Amino acid sequence: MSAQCNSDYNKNQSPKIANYDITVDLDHEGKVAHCHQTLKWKNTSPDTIRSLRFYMYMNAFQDLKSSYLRNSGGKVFGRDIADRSAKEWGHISIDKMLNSKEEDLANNAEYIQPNDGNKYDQSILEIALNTPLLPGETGIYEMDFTTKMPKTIARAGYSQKDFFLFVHWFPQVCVYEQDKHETWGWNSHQFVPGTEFFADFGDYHVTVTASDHLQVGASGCRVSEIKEDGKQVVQFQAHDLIDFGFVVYSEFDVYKSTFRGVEIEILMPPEHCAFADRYRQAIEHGLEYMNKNVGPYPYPKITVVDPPVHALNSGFMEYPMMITAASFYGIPKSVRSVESLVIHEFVHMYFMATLASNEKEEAWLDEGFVTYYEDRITDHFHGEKSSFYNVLGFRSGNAENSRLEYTKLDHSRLGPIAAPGWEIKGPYKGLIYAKTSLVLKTLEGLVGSAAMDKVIQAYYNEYKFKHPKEADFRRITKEVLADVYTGFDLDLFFDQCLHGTEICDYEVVYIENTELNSGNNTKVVLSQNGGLQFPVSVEIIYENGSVAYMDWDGSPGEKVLEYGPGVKIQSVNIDPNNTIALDINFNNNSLTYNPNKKPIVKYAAKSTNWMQTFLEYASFLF
Amino acid sequence: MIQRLKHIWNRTSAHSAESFCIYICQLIFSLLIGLIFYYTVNDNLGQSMALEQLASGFDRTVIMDMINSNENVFSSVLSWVMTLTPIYLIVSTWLQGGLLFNIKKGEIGVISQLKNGIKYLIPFLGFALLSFVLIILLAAIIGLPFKSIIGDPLTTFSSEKPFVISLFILIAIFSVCIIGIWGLSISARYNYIEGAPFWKSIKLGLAFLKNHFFKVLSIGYLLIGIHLLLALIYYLLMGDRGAPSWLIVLFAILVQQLFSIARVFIRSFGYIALDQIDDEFIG
Ligand SMILES: [Zn+2]
Repeated sequence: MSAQCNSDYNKNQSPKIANYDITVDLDHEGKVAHCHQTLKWKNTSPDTIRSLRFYMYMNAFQDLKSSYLRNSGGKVFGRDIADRSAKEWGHISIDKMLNSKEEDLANNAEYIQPNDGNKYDQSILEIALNTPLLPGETGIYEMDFTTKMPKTIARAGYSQKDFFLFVHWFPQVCVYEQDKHETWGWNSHQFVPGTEFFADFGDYHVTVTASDHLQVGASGCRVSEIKEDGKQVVQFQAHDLIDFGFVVYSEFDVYKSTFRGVEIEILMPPEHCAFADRYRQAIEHGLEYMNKNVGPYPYPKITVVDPPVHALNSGFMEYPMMITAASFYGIPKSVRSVESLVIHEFVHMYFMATLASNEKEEAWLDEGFVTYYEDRITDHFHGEKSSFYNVLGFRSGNAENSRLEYTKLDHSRLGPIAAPGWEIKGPYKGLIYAKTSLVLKTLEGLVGSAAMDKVIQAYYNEYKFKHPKEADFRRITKEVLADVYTGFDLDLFFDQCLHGTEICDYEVVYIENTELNSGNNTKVVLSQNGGLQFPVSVEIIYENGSVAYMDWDGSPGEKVLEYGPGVKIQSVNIDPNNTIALDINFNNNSLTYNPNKKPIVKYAAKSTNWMQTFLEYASFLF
Repeated sequence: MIQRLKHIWNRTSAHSAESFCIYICQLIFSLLIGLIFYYTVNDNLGQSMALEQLASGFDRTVIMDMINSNENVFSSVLSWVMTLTPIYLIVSTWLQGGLLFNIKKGEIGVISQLKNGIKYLIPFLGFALLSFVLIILLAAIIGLPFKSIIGDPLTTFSSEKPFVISLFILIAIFSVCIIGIWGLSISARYNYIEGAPFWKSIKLGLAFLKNHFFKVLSIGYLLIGIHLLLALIYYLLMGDRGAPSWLIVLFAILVQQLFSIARVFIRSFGYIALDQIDDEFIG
């Protein structure tokens, strides 16, 4: 037990609206948890609350008729789901819910389908309160519930004998908030693919009783652990979280360390022990960078779960104070996908856990910001051109890789990134993760890194432990940049980048040098082939070696530059420092009469040699 | 042992001209690809200042932007590779036949290589085809049960470690088979040169393989080892230096070609080593 986690770190950082005290009795053989929760929910609205709504997301995995699985096209994370046996499905049910008058409200429960009307979907439960909650009042409810875990599906569930990832596992209250028209009401979306978190902050006390051959890890601090008669009782405590998850497995090795006052607990199967140090370092890099550039990490601990290979689908995910990574025996150090993933999930402790935007409605506000920082952190610590991999001379930076996730897409079909998860069809990663990251990187390119850091720091400071929306980020950005940069229209920037589907592609179309007495002017034709507009700098190199720079507003269409006859231009380079990260093709940003042909010759020689080698091996075989 | 290797090496050097002839032929075919590659990249990137980035080392952004903006950029290179490879393999069988003849009959020189090689072209193509079929067959025999036993490696095992290890074992088994097929195929060609009919040559080749399996295997692994060592040296020597100057580019080309010559010589060395065993076998 670590000191910092054990101390009273409860700093009352959040409004603590939804607070849970849960006891879990895990029957690992039956894959069932029998649970009791004391829910304390505070009505912070001006309305009288007559019913509570709960996320019952485990019910998305009870059969193929749920809205989640109907919209999954028969596969979840590339795995067929149709041929599951009955015992491989999961579900959750509230067996009893007593109010302070000991009335059982479970009988008032009714599944509702606010999004799609699919009457088979049981992911949202509404329970009428016999006694309404007045503004400012806190309701206390004693609830018995049962969670049957499915075989791993979209992260949640069990795998093989005794691996369990408990997420979406308890009846969690939806968010009662103001919508964009400032009307109060429940924000309670059904569970569908492409959506995940939105809940209120609160404190969690979770006690897990399980067979003592199992290890248990969780969001939050481990405050006590008792083993008796083949059973163990482990207590966890966490403050100011929007969700709570825990993991159970018999084979974990546990690695604990502390960095800058934060406890790092890594749980991984023995065959992955080579990654323990890599994970630890990745978390340390994340902590160091985010503390310095965004704000202090607000929790005393981070738990990193590395699932065994059979539970790989439980990996790649973030929960408050707990992340699930993924590794594979033998991945060399020069392939940093492992570090990149851990850093990505760690950054979610800022964008998701702390700045708890509605991921269902505005996923770009968390995945996009996270990718932006994942790129920055990995590039900072491992080099811009090699932070993702560097194998036998082939290398790629992390940001470089993220950019390619976007540039490789079929651009004409892209939707806007500021859209709810269920409306985003197709390349979710290329859009929500990569394009948002490029939008932020482009903004950084336009205003400078120092100003960008100020924007994000101000955003973090003002909205931590709240639910920021697009308008909040835009307002903060405008406020901060008002003192820093006035050169372009930020509203236009956000409108076109977040709500538009246009692309950016600068091109130098041609350079036409004319003779002194020809009567014709020397001409340079630039073009913005896409519909986006960013101000850019254009570098012009004359034949005599002198260099000039001009500003161009970068508006769509062609821009013709004319010079007097006899002016000899050697090269033109739009945005020479590639500050406009959204540009889908940097190669056509420049044109020169003095190209460097050395690399072409080099690669031609290399391809000759590859062919020689290939032919030699082929003739050796046959 | 050292004495024996030295003797094989001396014989390999004696057949330098034939090896060099194979190298030149390989170079001509490959240069065609190199030239097409040059013009392809030049057409797409030849006037861009992005070349400066490539000059300082491998740059995924430059390469991927080129591919993304023209997804068929390398299709002509690939289709030429597909066309030239089978043609080369026919020519290669001819040149190799001549080399094997010279080795077996103690002849020296390119004229003899070309003249005699052509005589064996058709039957040797037959042996090559047989090797091809055997390799495919063995890959299926080894690979398919492995796949059915393992199923989905991500869910069958409690850990991926045994999967990775069994994959290595599979590769080891496969390499043994490849070396065996290679030994059989070359030995059959020697027997054919010695006058045995086609199927008899294979039968004798099988007998040779049976009697000298471990010797053939050691030669095979020796050659693989040398190839791996060469690859390592090449990587350490060249890494990714980019193309900062013409001198570096020329140096890279020189090193590449030296390694290509070395690879052909290694093959000749292997043929002579097999002949050496064969002689001892017959003797
Ligand atoms: Zn993420």
